[in-house]
Amino acid sequence: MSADIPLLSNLSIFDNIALIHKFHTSQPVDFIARTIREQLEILGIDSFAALKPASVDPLTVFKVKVLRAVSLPLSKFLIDRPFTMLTGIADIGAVVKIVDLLDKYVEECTVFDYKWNSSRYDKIAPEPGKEG
Amino acid sequence: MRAFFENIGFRTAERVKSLADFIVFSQRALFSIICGDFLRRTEKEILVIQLYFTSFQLLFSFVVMSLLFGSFFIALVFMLVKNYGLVQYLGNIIMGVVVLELAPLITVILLALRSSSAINSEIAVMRVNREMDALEAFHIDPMRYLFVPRIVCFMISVTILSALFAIVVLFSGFVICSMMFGFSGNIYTELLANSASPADLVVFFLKTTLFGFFISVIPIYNGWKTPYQLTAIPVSVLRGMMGVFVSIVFVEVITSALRLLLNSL
Repeated sequence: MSADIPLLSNLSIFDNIALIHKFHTSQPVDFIARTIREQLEILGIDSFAALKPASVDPLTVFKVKVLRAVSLPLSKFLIDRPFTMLTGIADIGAVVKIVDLLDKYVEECTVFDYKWNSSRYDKIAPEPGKEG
Repeated sequence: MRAFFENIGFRTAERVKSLADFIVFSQRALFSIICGDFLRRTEKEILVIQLYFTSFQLLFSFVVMSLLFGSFFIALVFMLVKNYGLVQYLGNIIMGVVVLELAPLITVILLALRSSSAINSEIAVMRVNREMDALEAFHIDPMRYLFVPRIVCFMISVTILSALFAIVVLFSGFVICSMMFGFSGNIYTELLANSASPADLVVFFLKTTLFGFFISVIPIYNGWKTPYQLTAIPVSVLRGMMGVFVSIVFVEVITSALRLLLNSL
């Protein structure tokens, strides 16, 4: 997921996620709806399901992008420059929290970012001598 | 002088390239329609929504407009025909002018003004916002998901609304004629039935389908080709609408020639 891959503005938050499921799987609509409701609840944004992306805050948009990205059967989940999407946050903690909550759906997560943002990753930096 | 000719050559090459791109785009759309891509789950949903916006929302005002137009137009035609002693040709005149020419033309102009401009700007905005890139990133073909349901919707809408227009105009015309001139229902029906031929119906369906195809595929293509700049959106809509106008004239000429050919056989 990246800032260059926006949500579709004419679809609701729910439909933005549902589109990927409907397009790439043959799962029944009820099953898809249940899964998405569950995911939205985990991230605490289920009340925004019917809203369009333009009417929610950047953090909610980010969460929806994460949910949309994990809708695909991925082996790796890559976040490209998260701070370009979340300009208001100080460090990567909020992103880690979101990914942790979706542990069930995310197998592996990789973050790409500029070197000058390294201090914002201090909280999750591996201890010396250990691999991260 | 050399620069002048170079400029002409450059512009011609640009136009030819643009036309070739459009033909390839149209072929892809047509192939996707023939393959029935619009019948899949997500595409069918889009088709239904588009039919609602394009046809259903318009229905009431369209019927009222047809009623008003039909009442006065047919009454006027009938009066003229009666004055010139050509009542026996009334059916041919109504079928030839109202059903085959006016109904598709008025419907297509209305849909082009209302919906073609809307889809042109919608697609252009999606392009500028990089929403097309988002679709491609998730392996969703914009042609299949966005374009084909809209094109099919226009093809269905123009055909159905043109047929509705013709029916309403014929009916309202009859009501007015019978009220004003005491015209009998049997004679009116007989005149119309005698003047309708299967070839005319084929031309009608061909014409409305072609209209529907071109007034959707041209704005979609122009929206899709919009550069990534907000200021390019009005230019894209302008080009799209000019293309729509040219295509309406083109289809009108082609189908008229076809009618002439079929009638002369």
